[in-house]
Amino acid sequence: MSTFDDNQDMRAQRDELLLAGHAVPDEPGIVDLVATLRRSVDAPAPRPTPALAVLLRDGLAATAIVPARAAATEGARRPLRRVWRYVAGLGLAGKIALGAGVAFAGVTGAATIGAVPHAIQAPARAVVHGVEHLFAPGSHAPVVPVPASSSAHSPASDAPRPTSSGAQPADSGHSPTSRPTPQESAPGIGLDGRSSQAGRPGGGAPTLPAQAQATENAAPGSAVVHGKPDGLPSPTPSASARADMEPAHP
Amino acid sequence: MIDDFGPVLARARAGSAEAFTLLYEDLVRPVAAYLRARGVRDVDDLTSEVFLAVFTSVGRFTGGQEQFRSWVFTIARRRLVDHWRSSSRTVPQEPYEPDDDDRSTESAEDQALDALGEERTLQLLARLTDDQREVLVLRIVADLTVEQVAEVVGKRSGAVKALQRRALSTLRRIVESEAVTL
Repeated sequence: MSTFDDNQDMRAQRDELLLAGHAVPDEPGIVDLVATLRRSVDAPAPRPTPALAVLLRDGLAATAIVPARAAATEGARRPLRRVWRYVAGLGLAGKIALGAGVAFAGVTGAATIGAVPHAIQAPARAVVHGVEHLFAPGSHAPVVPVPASSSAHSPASDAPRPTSSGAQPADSGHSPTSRPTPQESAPGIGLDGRSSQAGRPGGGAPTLPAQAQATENAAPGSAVVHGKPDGLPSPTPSASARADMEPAHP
Repeated sequence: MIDDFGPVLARARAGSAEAFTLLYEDLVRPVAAYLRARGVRDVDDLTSEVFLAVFTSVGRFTGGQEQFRSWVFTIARRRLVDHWRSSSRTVPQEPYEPDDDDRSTESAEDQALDALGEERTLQLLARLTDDQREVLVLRIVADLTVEQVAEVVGKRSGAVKALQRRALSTLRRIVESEAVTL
């Protein structure tokens, strides 16, 4: 050890003696200061407030003292309990709406996230595909489901009515037959636009008939416009898609 | 110091008034002296607040007597910080008034001398940094070890040693240069 270290150690020992209240030679001022501070502890105790006086006189019920384990788990349970209380406080309609919202969010998430396996994604996407038109902007008219066997090429003026010209070989082996294909009352987004998909390159599988392809893509031009090979529907077609629809009108 | 601390603590956990009184009488004077040395003029209410917090949360505490002492001063320190925050975030540095201090039971002459000495001591401590003053008061008034002080202030032991070394060096320099007599 160097001389510097020796001095440091000696000073540290000296400081400890001072702080412990021992007399250290050559430092009367600091010794007096420490002694004065130590004497301040001998001053009379302050008077307890009424609340503390009651506690010192009567004690405290054991239940009022926070136990260690309960205090540790209290913080972790609090957010979950708060959510549970909120849900329990909702009315019946609120609970139904909340459940429907959670279910829809879950199904939509499973359908849109490509990270889930195909076995989960395919049925989820089918469900979303069946209900997505209900939430399309501008579709305030009553929605009537169309039987799976019905055609999808009726004119736009017939949009609110169910299609009756169902002699088309559509949906043969490709689209789910149990799924209704409802129409929309919004002009330009109706079923008339679907037939235009037949002449579009890349609009679907080339082996499918035009109506089958149109039935698969609920919104016209969505597969091409958005460049999605799986044909995810779009609620509103783009300007180019609307232009593509126009020649399809009778 | 309490002789049988374990049973007393167990009774305090059960809410025993007798155990509360034993713990209170053991620590009330150091806690009050700590608060006074940290600049609180009226320590009665704050000291009671500290012990109310101690007794209502004693079920959380685990450890021996030394740890209990550190824990009480940790609560006292937090209450002190809250007190300063609530009183416009400044440490009151009012001049000491010996006439207002009736804490001594000695003779009037000794009382005056002690009061003057304490006033001068508080003035000297006020010239230290807040951290240095905190460490020095906890070491001397609360009678805590370096490790206990480190636990109370949330610093490492080495940092506490450095703070107390600098605090004593500053006080030495002031005492020598001004020839302070307490």
